[in-house]
Amino acid sequence: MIRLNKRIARLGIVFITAFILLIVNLTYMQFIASAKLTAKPENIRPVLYERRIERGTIISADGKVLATSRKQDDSYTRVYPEGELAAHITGFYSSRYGRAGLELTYDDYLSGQSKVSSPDDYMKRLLGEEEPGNDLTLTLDMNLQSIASKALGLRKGAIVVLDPKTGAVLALVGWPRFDPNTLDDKWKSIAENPEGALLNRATQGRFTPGSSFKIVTAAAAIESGAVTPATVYEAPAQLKIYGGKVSNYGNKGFGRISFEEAFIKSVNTVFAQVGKNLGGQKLVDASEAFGINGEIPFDLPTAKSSVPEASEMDDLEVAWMAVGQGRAAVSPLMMALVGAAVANDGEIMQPYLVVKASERDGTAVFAREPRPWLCPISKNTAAVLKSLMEQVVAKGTGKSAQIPGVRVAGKTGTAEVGKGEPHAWFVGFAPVDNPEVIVAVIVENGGTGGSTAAPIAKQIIAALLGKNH
Amino acid sequence: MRFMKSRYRNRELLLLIFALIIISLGFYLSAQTTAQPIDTALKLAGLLATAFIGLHIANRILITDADPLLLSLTAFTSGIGLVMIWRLKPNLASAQSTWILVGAVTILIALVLARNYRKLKEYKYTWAIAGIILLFAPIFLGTERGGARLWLDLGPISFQPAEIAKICFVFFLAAYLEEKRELLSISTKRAFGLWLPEPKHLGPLAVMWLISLIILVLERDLGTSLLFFGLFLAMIYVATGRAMYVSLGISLFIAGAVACYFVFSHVQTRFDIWLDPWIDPAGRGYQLIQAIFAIGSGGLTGTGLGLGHPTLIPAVQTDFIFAAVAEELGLLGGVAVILAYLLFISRGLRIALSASDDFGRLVATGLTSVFALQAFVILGGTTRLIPLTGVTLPYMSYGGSSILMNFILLALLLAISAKRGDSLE
Repeated sequence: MIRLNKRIARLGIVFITAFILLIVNLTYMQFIASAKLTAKPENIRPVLYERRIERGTIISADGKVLATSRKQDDSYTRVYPEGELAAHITGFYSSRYGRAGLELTYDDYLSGQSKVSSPDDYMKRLLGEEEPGNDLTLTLDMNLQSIASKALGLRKGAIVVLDPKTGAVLALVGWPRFDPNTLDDKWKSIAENPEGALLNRATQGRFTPGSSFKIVTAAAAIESGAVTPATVYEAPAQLKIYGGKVSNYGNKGFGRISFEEAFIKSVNTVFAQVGKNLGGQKLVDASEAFGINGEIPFDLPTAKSSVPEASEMDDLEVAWMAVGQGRAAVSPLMMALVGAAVANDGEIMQPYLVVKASERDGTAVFAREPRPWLCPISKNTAAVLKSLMEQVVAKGTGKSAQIPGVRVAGKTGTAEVGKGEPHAWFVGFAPVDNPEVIVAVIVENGGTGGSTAAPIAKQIIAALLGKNH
Repeated sequence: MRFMKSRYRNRELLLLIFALIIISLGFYLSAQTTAQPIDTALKLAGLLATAFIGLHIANRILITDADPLLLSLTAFTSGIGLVMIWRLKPNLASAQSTWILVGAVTILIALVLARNYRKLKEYKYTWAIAGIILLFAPIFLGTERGGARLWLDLGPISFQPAEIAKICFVFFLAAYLEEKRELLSISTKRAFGLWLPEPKHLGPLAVMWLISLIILVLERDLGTSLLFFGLFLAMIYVATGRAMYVSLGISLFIAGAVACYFVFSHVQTRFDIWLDPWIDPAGRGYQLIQAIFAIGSGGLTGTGLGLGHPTLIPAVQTDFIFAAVAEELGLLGGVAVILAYLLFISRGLRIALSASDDFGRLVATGLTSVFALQAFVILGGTTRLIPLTGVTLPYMSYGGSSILMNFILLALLLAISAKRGDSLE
């Protein structure tokens, strides 16, 4: 009998060992392997969980709903009432293709996925009463966005509209674009669009700046003290440098002209001399002072605008860079910020789209105050550039941006891009004495800046100031 | 009034109330999260409480000194099971609760009948024959489900006769081994370098081995076959103390299993899927992968009742109910359930230790072994510790025959514990 009992006890040890193995294995699966299992592509749970949460709404400055969650049966689906119009800003939220735009950068707020922090939160989670995500309020003015979008039309290009005093982005347009509502159904055609419908050209596009870059060259020249608007240059149709040459648009000669006139008429041969005299290093330094070669802190992904290092350029390339040709590549947002420095007395405010994130009851959990970003030029230089740019619109290449009764300043750009028509640029602001808006426009292969881009900027400025005055 | 004073029964009541409170909270949470009527939750919780409080009262009257933990552990596991079934497949919950009620009545009958369980050994060959008939009935009369032929359809009720056969075989083996254990422990013949008992004493045991193989081959039921063979080995080891039987038995089983791997495609599939379910994630590996995902998503505290997605697992309410528990109640809930089973098993073996006679000892050992093996095989299968074989999780899985037979098992353990020789303390 005692021996029988010993054997029963041994059997017990076998069972206990087996069940401890079960516990060890369960601990492994639920603790260690958990994250790996969740990441498996066959696992649709992450998607199902997120659909249960009511994501926050994205609202424009003028109260238009750009993205919201609608309840269908047990889960929420994301709806974009403005469709394509704000697609590059809201981005998308797809269970299959991930997320982009503000849906990505502000995911923590929108999903309200803050970790459980109190017993109260835990009880709510137990009962499935998860708080909806935070709502985002933007600086974007949908009325302006729609006007800018219409002005660009179905042309490849981008428009950035900001308030130079605060950095608030008022409109951000790019074409081609996509409708986030039909992303899942039309993914293939959207993703494989050869023109890049998913690319937010306004912040991620990189383009040759052409003559709009002369704002940077002029800033460097005036800051250096070597050049004033009255400095006189020879302005032949072509200028030979190191076996190469820099030529004016349309191969036109201007004789002897002042720097002021060269800026107004966008004379390449003068700017080539200015650049060559400054040297590559000063030109690169000035560019970097504006934020080129660096990251722009922004609510959406941005492409890095860049100029080559001074040591990599010979005099010919420096001369071409001074007129905005060559290897320089900038985003429309970058050009808007260059213009903003001039408009805002030399100081660039950090650009932003999101004013605040708030809970359903209106309590703000995140609020943005405008803050300065860079100070590339002095107030005096800014004032000089301002008057130069005003004259560009008054009597130079930017005449088609004129608005009766409003002092508009700007700079055109016509960027040669190898084959096809040049890219048309315009960077401008108004009113000159108290700038409220800065606009950067690019129309890819659109022709000259003056004929194609400036009229677009004019419509936007007129619409905005007309409403405000 | 002796039964009012019983220490054991008071403890049982306390634990039972504790278990019922946990279960009621579970019903409440499920009703909230799955937006189901609270009335149904109340009805189900009420039914469960009625069944177990009723059994508790019966225990007070019939078996005052019986083990105080078993009934509350059964209430806990079958309660969690009922909550999960209601949450997973709401329209199956009332059937399950009915089975629990029927099970409770069956316990009452079994308790009355089994108070003199020693009489059972007088019918040992009757048990053997009944067991064999029950086991093999599905081969000729059964319907095939999921590659295995285990079910008997009797009009509206279909059941797995193997569930009843298990208990029959426990009776037979206990009676037979009690009688023959001395003879089986003595080796008289030497063969293959091993001392073996007289062949005539080994005959019935060889029959058991054959039975296991036949189940495997003809009914294609890996789980039940493993269960029978494991039961047989556990009992023969405890009765004779001969490790030789165990090693011989394990070798034979492995040989049989390897042969089956090469002969039967469904056995091969089960094994290959266990090694790597990702060889066919949308097909043969789907169920196991979904279970693994469910368990993995649970974390420490789980998603909360009604807030996970365990219904992605096919047939989650039967074989895979533990995966649903692990997902929604997390590691804490999963370990609680595993420990509840382990506690049940340790109480079962303790009853075996303290039984007043060898027959009772062996019956308790056999019943506990069947219970332990079954719980381990399915818990290990759903958590991919071992290859998956389709058996139900006692008390928790959806299914009438499983509930009924495990309730009878409980009644027998309680009856044996009430007749113990020494104290359970």
